[in-house]
Amino acid sequence: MPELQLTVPADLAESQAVRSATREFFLAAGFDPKTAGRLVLVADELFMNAVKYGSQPGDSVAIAGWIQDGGVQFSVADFNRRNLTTDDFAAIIEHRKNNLNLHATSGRGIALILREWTDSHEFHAEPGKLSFSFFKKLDSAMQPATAMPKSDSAAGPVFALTGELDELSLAAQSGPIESALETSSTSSIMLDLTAVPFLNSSAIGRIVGWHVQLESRGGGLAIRGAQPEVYDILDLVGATSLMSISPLSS
Amino acid sequence: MTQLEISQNPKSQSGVDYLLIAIAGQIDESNLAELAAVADQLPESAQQFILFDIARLEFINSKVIGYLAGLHSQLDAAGKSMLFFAPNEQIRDILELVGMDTIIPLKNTETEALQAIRDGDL
Repeated sequence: MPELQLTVPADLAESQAVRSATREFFLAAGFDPKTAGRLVLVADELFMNAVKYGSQPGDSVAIAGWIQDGGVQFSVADFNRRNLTTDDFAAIIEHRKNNLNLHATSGRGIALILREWTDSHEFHAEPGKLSFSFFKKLDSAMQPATAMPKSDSAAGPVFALTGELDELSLAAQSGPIESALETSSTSSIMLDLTAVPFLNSSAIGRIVGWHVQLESRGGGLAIRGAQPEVYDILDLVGATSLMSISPLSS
Repeated sequence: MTQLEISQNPKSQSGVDYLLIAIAGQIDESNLAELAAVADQLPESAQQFILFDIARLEFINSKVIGYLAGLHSQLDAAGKSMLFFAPNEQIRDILELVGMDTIIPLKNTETEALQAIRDGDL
């Protein structure tokens, strides 16, 4: 059973060694290379934050990972040199999450990638120790349906997508959308996301790609029925400034 | 220390004069200054177009992405354009996650990058 126990100097120069060890651990745990790469980035961000904000010269950072409940539990702990309470830390995370400026990516980065690439995360602060941990399931296969156009309107055909959307599940539903895009007269499309509880960066990338394609024809892609979580992630990555996105009416 | 190699090469191809910058290795806070030492000169470069060959770029974190977004703004203000080509899957993943590809074009090959310039897609 793979297990990781590392205590490394709180020094940014250790970052490459941390990434190397964590990559080896996530791969040994059974993640595919792409997922392992994402988790390495999460681990890197946590380590960097621990060094920059939770440590003094000469301190160390404790990194641990182990298999639990069909997934990996991973934690990074520092000496909490700013003496934060758990509430203080929660406020910092919330503030960063709401920073939508792409140029300040380093600020919102950790909040965004934790939310997108892990299944859950938590933190705990006490005098002398601040630990941040996340959990990632080993298997998160999803069953996609096929997108069906509901009706045509002045804004173009409406396609309703369902389920959690990632690269594979969106590809499985995108046949009718791709067919519509092949028709040069189609310049506008509406996506109805009422039945979509989550979408990841791959799905967003593909949707933005459709929008760009339609924009070149003088139209664009619009989204309606975005659930709060879905709207939030689209907003975080800046998609709301690119296209019309309407939240789900309550 | 994290390993990083950066090379610069002025080129003229397919009717486009551009500066090709190849980056190999990993970039994080520990060596971002190495990239900045090269990038900070770019607003004064002779070429209008700056193409970053990132085929051998293995890792970047959010700090680096924030820096690159700032560089894009500086170049834009100087009347210059930048784009990336040939990212590996991990690099593409993080660039797309944070929406970077919506402000800095991301192409599969140098040929595609040059085509985008000729087509006026920057």
